[in-house]
Amino acid sequence: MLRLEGITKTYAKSAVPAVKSLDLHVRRGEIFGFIGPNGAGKTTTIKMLCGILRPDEGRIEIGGADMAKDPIAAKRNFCYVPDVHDTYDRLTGQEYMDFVADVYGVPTKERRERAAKYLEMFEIADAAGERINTYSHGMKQKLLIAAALLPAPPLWVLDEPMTGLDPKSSALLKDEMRAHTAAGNTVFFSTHVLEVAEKLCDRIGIIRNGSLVAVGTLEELRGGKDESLESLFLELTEDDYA
Amino acid sequence: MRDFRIVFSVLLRQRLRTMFGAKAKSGGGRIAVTVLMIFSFAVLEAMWSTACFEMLRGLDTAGRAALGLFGVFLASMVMTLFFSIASVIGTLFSANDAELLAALPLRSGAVFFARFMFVYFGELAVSLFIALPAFVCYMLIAGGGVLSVLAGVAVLLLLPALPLAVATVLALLLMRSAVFMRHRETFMTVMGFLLGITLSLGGNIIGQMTGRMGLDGITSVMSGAGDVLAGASRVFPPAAWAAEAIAADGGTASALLHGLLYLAICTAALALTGIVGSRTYSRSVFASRETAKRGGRKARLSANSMTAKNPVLACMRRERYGLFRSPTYAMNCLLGAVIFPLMILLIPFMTKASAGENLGPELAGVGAMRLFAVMLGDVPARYVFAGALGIMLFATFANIAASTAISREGEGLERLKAMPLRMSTLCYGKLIVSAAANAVTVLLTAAVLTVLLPAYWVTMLAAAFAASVAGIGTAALGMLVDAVRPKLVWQNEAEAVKQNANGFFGMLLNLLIGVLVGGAGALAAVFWGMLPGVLAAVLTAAAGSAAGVWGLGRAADKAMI
Ligand SMILES: Nc1ncnc2c1ncn2[C@@H]1O[C@H](COP(=O)(O)OP(=O)(O)O)[C@@H](O)[C@H]1O
Ligand SMILES: [Mg+2]
Repeated sequence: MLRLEGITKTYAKSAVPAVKSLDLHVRRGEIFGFIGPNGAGKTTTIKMLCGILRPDEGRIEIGGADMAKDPIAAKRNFCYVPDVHDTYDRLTGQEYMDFVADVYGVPTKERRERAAKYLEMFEIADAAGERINTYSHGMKQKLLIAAALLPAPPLWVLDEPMTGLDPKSSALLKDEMRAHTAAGNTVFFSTHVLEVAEKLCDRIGIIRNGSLVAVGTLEELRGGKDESLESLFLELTEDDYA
Repeated sequence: MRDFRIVFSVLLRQRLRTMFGAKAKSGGGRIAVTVLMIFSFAVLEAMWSTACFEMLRGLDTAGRAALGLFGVFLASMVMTLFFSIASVIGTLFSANDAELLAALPLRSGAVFFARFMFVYFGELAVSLFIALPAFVCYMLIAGGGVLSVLAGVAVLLLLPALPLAVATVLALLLMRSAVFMRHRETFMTVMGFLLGITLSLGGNIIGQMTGRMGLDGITSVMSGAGDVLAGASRVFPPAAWAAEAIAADGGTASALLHGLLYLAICTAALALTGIVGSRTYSRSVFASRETAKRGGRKARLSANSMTAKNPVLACMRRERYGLFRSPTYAMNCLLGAVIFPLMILLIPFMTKASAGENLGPELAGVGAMRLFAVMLGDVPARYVFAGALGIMLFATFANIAASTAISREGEGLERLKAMPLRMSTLCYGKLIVSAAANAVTVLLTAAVLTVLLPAYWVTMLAAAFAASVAGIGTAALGMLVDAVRPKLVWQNEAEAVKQNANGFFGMLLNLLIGVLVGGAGALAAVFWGMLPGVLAAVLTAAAGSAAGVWGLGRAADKAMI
C-alpha cells in the first residue's frame, strides 16, 4: 500500500539530514505504528509521504501511484491528519468537512451519512455549525480527524492522532482504525505513546535520528525475549545523546 | 522601560527573521527577487515622485506650492488612518503571541507600547514612501533653508502619529465593547465603508484644490478663496500646520509657531494613546480573546447543505468565506473594490459649490451632476470610450485579494498539499473570487460614470465589458506572483496582506496589462473609430487573460509543491 524507498530530507540551512535514506513497506490491511523520540523525524517522514515536502532523494509510492510522477493519483489513496492545527478557522466545521469532501469528490449521499456518523461519534455535531476558531484544542483535533476520514480513502496517515483527544474519543478512534484495516485498508500513524502502539499495531517501526532502527511485529522486535516495548524502545534509542 | 525593551526586541527579532530569515530558495533566485522588488519599489516611487514634481511645479507658478505639500500630508494621514486600523487590530489583538505575552509577568502598558511602536514604524515606512518625494520636490522647487529641512524631517517622522493615535484609541475602545465583539464583522464593514467615504472625500478635496477642474478652475478657486492654505487648514488644521512649518521658511515666527502647534498636537495624541493604552490594553486583550459564539449551532446535514460540488467551486466558496469573514482581509482586500468608484461619484458633489460659477457665467447655473456632461458636450463617443476604459482599468490596478491569495493560506497550505487537489484547481477557485472583485469595481465605476454622463451609457457598457475581461487577466497575474513566491510564514493576518511585497509586484504586472489593453483600445478607438476600439480592447483583454489564466495554472502546478 505504502512504499518508501531511500527517502532522504535535509532541511535548508541544516547540516544533518532530518531523515536519512529510509526504506519502508506498509502492507494492505495492517496498522503500522511509527514511533521514535521527539525530533526523530516522524513528522518529516509523514510530510514527505503526503507530498507536502519533496524528498531530496528516494521514491514514494502509495497504492501503486508514484508521488513524484502522479501526485494527485497518489493523494487520492490517502487522507492525512496533521500534528498541528491552525488556520482555516473562519470556516465552520461543516463547511470545512464539505470542502474536503468536494476535493475528494465524495457524492452527496455518502458525505452526509459519513459526516453525520463522525460528527456524532466524536460528539461535535452540536458545534459543527460554529466557526472553527471557537473550538477547543481537542474539538479541532476531532474535526480534523472527522474531515480526513470523511472521504474514506484506503490509507489513513495520522500524525500523533491521539494527542488532545479525550479517552472516549481516543478509544473510538482506535476502534475505527481496527475496523478500517479489518476491511482490507491500511493505517499509518505516528505516536510516542507506547501502550497505544503495543496494543494496536500489527507492525511497528522505530525511528531515531532520521533512520529506521527496527521494523517488525512486536514479536519480531522482541526477538524471543520477554521485553516490554518500553524497554525495547529505550534500548534502541538510548545512545541518542552518546 | 525594561519590559518595553524586552518585548520590543523580541517582536523585532521575530519580524526581521521572518522577513530575511532562512529561505529554501537558492541564492540566485533570492537575489533576483530582491532586485526585482527594489526595482518595482523604485518604479512606483519614481512615478509618484514625477507626479508630485509636476503638481508642485504647477502650483508653484501660482505661488501655491505649500498647498501641494499640505495635500500630500493630508493624503498620507488619511491613508494611515484608513489602513492602520487593520494592522493595529492585527498586531495589538490578534497576534499569535497574544496569549503567550499575556501570561508573562510583563506590565501590560509596556507590552502595549512595544506593539504600538511596532505598528508606528510600519506606518512610518508607508508615510515616508508617500510624503518624502513631495518634501524633496518641494525643496527643489520652492527652496528652503537648513531650518526648513530640519522642520521637514521632524514633520515627516511624526506624520503617522496623529492618525495612528486615533486608530489605536478607536481600536482599544472597540475591542473592549462586548457589543462590538459580538457583531464585529458587521461593525468592521460599516466602519470600513465610512472610512472609505472619508478617504474619498479627502481625496476629492485635494483633487479639487489641486486642480481637477482645469487651469481656469484652479486660478478662480484660488483667487476666490483668498489664502488657500488658510482655507485648507479648515479641512484639517494639523496637516496645514505641518506644511506651514516647512513652507514659511524655517526661521520665521510663523514657521516656528506652526511647527510647535504640530508638535504639540502629535505629542498630545501620543500621550493620550499611551494613557488609554496602559489603562485598557490588558482588558481589551482579554475581551478580544473571547470569540463571538452564537451558541450550539448544529450542522445542517440535509436539504441544501453538503451537496457535492466541483472542486473549483469548492475552492471558490472557501476563498469567499475566508475573505469575507476576516475583518482584516475584508478591509484590505475587498474594500478597495468599492472605494475607487465611490471617489468618482463624489467629485460632482464636492465641486458643486464652486465649479459651476468658476467656469464662467454661462455655466454658473448648471447642476453639478450635469456639469461633466456639459463639459464633454461635443466629445465623440470614442474619446469617452478611451477615457472610460482607462479609468476602469486603473480602478482594478491594485487587487490585493489576488496578489495575496496564496499567502493568506499561511502554513495551513500544507494540509491542502496533502489532498488530491491540483494547485491549479485551488488557484482557479480563488481566481473566480478575485476576478469577481475586479468585475464589481469595473461595474460600479461604469455605473458611476453612467450617472455622470447618461448619454454615453452604451459606451460605458462597452468599456466595462472590455475592462471586466481584462480584470480576469490582471487578477490571474497578481495571483501568479503569489503562487510562485507566497509569504506563508506570518504572525497575524495583517502581516499576510500588508507586509507582502507581492502586492507591489501584482500592481506592476497589472500596470502592464492596463497599458496593453488600454493602449490598444484607446489608440484603435481614437484613430479608427468606436467599433475597432472596442474590438481591439476586448481582443487584447481576452488574449491577455487567456495567457494569464494559462500561466497561473502552469505556475501553480509547477511551483507550489
Ligand atoms: N521546518 C523545519 N526546518 C528545519 N528543521 C526542521 C523543520 N522541521 C523539523 N526540523 C528538524 O527535523 C528533525 C525532525 O523533526 P520532526 O520530523 O518534526 O520530528 P518528530 O519525530 O518529533 O515529528 C528535527 O531535528 C527538527 O529540528
Ligand atoms: Mg512530530
